[in-house]
Amino acid sequence: MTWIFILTATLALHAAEYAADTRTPVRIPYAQDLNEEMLYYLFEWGDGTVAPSSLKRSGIHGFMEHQYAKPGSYQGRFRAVSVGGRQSEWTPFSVTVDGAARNGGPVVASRGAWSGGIAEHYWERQACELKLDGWHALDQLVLEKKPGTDFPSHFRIEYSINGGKTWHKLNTAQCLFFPDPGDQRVAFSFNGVAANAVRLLVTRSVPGHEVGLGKMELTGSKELLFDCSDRGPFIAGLNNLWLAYGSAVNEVHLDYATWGQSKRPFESGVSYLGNAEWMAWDALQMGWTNSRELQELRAKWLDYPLDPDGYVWACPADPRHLFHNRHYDNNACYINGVVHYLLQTGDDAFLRHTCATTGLANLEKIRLAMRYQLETLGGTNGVLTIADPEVNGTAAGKSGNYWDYYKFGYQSAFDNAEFYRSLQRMARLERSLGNGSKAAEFEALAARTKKKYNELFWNDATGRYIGCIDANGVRRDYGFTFVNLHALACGLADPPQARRILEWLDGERIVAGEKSTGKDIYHFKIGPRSNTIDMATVPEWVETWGGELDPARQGRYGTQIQNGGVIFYTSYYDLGARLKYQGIDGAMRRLKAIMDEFEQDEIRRIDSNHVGHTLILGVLLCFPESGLVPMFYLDGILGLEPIADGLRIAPSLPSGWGWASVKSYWFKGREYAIRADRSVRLPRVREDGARTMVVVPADGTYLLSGDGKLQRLNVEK
Amino acid sequence: MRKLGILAYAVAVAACARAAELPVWFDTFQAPLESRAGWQTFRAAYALGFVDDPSLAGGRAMKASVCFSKETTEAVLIWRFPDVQMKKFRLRAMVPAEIGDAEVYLRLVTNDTRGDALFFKPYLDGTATGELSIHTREGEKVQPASPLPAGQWVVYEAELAEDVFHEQKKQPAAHPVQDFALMNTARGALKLSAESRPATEAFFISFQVPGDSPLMGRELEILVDFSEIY
Repeated sequence: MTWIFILTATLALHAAEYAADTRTPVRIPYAQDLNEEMLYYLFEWGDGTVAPSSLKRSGIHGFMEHQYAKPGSYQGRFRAVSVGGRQSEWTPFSVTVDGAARNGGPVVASRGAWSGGIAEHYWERQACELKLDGWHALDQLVLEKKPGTDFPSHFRIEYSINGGKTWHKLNTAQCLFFPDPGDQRVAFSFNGVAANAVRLLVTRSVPGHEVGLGKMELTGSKELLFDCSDRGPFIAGLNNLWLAYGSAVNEVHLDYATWGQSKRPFESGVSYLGNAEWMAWDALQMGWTNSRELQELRAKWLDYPLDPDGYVWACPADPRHLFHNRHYDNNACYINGVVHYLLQTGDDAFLRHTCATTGLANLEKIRLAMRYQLETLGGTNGVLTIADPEVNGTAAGKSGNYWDYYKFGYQSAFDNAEFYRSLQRMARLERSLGNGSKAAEFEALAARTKKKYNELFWNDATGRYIGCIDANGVRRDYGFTFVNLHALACGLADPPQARRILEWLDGERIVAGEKSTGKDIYHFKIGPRSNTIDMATVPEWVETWGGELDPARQGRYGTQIQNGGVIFYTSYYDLGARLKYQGIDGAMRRLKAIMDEFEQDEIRRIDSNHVGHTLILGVLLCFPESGLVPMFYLDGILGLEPIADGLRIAPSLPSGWGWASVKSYWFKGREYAIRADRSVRLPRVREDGARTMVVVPADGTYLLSGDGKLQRLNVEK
Repeated sequence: MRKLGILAYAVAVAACARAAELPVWFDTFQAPLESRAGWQTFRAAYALGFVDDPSLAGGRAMKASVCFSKETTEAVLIWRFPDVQMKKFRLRAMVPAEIGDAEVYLRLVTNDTRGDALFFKPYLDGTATGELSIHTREGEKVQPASPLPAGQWVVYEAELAEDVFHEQKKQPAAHPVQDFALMNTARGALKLSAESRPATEAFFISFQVPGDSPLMGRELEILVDFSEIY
């Protein structure tokens, strides 16, 4: 890290020079340490604007971006300001900007001078609000100082999706000891937050002083990223759900990267993880974007390690989960993630790339990973069977998959559902490569796997799937809601089975003697409890991780994510399951319940139990998979899914919606705006600048080819 | 003459404003979202809530539900805040009137960003009737302490330079909260140098009862307000 400080010192002596144009932002590096205090960077861009970064740890290397509106030469500078009020020296820089002048985004709301009055106490709060005419995707808020008053020194920017009934922090705009900006405009980026009200909230006042603003101006767009005819808090919240837990673009990332976890009190959403068990989820979340995060994932996956026999490592550094033991769902997750990425992006270079760690082309790696499932794990018989004694599903075993509190193993329903999906994905990949007969083999095996899955894992007594069959033949059924929702979303159940499972989850059917029954299963509202049988009754089947997670203490039922708590990502499968078996209105009832919770506090909940353990709800921090939930809008409501020969569009519009759209959706290197519309009879495609606009009727299934051609498919949804 | 009076008042107010030291970070529990952020229960403290009281700054205080037992004689509220160099800490607390003469003591520990612990003195009202002990690597350290008066707000204030002793832990970031390890982003690998003492990142606000306390097994609500870092 020494070079960071050398770089910083160098920048301080000589103004670093940068080049940019008016279409692309300039990126300025920063890295300063103010006595280890958390800090933010204040950038004066030389064009009359000043902008703060979000909070960072001292010494972290990051970048601040800015897009200039006019060509020219600009002399800028930045400094660090710490939460304790310390300030670094200014670091100068110069930027030469080419290109044609461009106009800023349209102003969607503004207000003139505001005075907060003279404060009596430091803790008094004052707010300057800006109400909008309807919901907008916000771009930038610009503030100007009011002469004769103090510019607020401690404040934050907040937004509302319900006209100001509840307010949410713009996490990247929390300022302390903000210096007087003079006559410069202070700018905050919203990156598309959907809202119908914005405010500046003064969080610390100076007694005897008056704060004020000369002007408050907000730019943005009437068109939301996810948009529909039913404008309101629901669709606005769904956009913000994506921003909080999908892209995580407006979250506090103390170490800069959006995948980096923050820490309290700046609990934040994170974008991705990139390790094996997250790969399928990461690909779903990021594959449709043109983001830096997608490129980071690509770089991580390009040389991802496998053993010579095809076992996929848990992370690039080690084959074992948390350096503990092997997980055998890694292979299916790897296949599902990488194949989804390839079908979505058409990244042939990735497929052909020779892996530096294995010496194999990535296509060979994918096939080897599948061969490991089929041969080493016996998948050709229609079920994966794990021979590893550490993952044998008995009390003597260890954790066997992502759900590492439980001792899944041997024949695991969770792993086999993902295996089933990997067979389908593999068939798509082979078909896209022109290997139709190979694809048919995988499809045939998938059909056999589905049959076997139901023979092995269905428990008719409880009307649901069990967790696993251990090596001694014991069937482990502890009311695993996530296993059942996963299986339903994969389409493994027949309709009567699905009905029984959903009746159990919805509390319409009671499984007698269980800890959680009836409406209590959705006690936390954002999703069902992970399990309905208290693991304290089977403590031997809990992976204690060295005795620290005791079901009688940290793991007490309802106070631990894997014993009566919730991991939010399961709601993605919940929605997909309900869409498949109950139709869109069944799924929307669940989504509406989730969005009602989101409207309250964006589900930023870190309750702790009686022993200080806060992992009751798995939403923030180490749960990038929370970003799956808003993906239901894309692959559920709009029905977008990459398949072998293109992008399938099979919309399922909720009752009362006339249309639904996504403003920017990337498929095979092209940017699309896609809309499903009940008032349209024929599908159409047209160019609109850099984007291609696709409009389809709401009741059919369509195929968009990689070169932008659209056709109707004669298939049932 | 009236103008002169107004001017003198304005100068006095301005002087007071200049002289008044303001906290760099604080919580008066005004906004639900903000007030929940950073606060956790630990050991005998098991739930957090709020009570409305218009006489308080911000109109609310935080209440911690507590139940002491023979095994757990300490109720801890963890308050996490941004890494900051601290000079002084102040807090208002109140134990319920119904505890009568039963003794509840208050002391604080803070973690710095290197994982070391700083132990603040216990609450002391000048008439110490009790003592609290801490097990350190050098042995037991005993400090005089006063029980908190029941049903009254007390102000606990401690200065970092005078009222703490430093306990260097063997392992950096050895936080007592189990799940904190999941959020360790390997800052230690950066080997950053600070000009002076490291920044602090969390308080462990500890309410303790003697091992033979009559409060064992009773549900109590302890109030906290005006948590301030200078």
